[in-house]
Amino acid sequence: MVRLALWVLAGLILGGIIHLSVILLLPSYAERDAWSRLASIAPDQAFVALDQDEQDLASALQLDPALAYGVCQFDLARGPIFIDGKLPHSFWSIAIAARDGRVIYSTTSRAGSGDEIKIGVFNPAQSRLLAEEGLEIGQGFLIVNAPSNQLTAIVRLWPEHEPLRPRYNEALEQISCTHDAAI
Amino acid sequence: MRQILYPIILVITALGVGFGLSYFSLEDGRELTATQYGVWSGWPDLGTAQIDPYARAHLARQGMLPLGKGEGVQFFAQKDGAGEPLNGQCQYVLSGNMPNHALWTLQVRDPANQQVFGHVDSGSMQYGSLGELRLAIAPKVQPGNWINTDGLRNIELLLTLYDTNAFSSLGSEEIDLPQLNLEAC
Repeated sequence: MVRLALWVLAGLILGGIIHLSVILLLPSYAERDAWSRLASIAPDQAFVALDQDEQDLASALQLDPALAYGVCQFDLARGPIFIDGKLPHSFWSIAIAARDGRVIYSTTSRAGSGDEIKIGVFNPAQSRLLAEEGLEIGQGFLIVNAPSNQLTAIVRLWPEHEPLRPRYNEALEQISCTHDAAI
Repeated sequence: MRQILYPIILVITALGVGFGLSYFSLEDGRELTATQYGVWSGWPDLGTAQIDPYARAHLARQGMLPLGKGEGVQFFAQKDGAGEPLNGQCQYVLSGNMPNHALWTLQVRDPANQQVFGHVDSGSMQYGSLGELRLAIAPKVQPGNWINTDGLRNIELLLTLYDTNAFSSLGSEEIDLPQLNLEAC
């Protein structure tokens, strides 16, 4: 009997280890997460407006139908990224998210930057170069330090009325998202 | 005989506990870690860099776009004030005040596939003189503020408060979100 209890206990402990591994490893092996879905539609170094009429995409990403979305995916391994643009005078917010869904930085239109977005995203090595003045960047850029290279910038913009949506989507695609240091 | 039986028991227990617990903690068990505000439950710390491994696994499994905490906070309701599951063929009333926000949106969704059936936002609502809200949630057109349930059997409500700082300060556990009550069925 004691023997059986020991085997069951060992099974429980092993089960606990399996459970922890599943929880910790799941984000890196997920194939239908937001990152992978966006990878197939996001262009290189540009923002794309998400099409709310595409049912599959909208429910997979759980988009809020009241908002317009613009996303840009980038890899800091190829250099720092500069996000620069002007948005219509409405509520907007921007999030910089890592591949695993962790939000590294977020801000909104009410935080004081008005209708302008000017953000430079750097990885630790690039931040060090920046501090040593080995990199040149334009005026007024907010510096965000990212612990990982593969990131998504998500801009949410609120069209107060539905007819504004096409114009707001255009505005989202006008935001630049490039490796070229804006000067 | 026992030399074979015991290892089999070990393997079955390990697999059952390991994957069963994982599945439970990502599905029904998610409720256990949620913060409750009346009928609403949510994870106000979801959109931070300090996100816990369970929430991270949940995000990956759901595949939704992350929402930073500085951008907004989301809450779900699957039951009314009396504890009954929400039914899209019945009529409910949402009443009360929203915590401070730049914008809020409310969606009626099918809990099975997250498809959205009706939605409203703060810009299209009429408020009382003290800023209080009264919103009818019903399958048929209602006077005043109304959100369509499309007559769907099972529904869940998703409330998103954009740019709210109500949940980042001390005492945020005592915040009141609007109440949800059954009107007619």
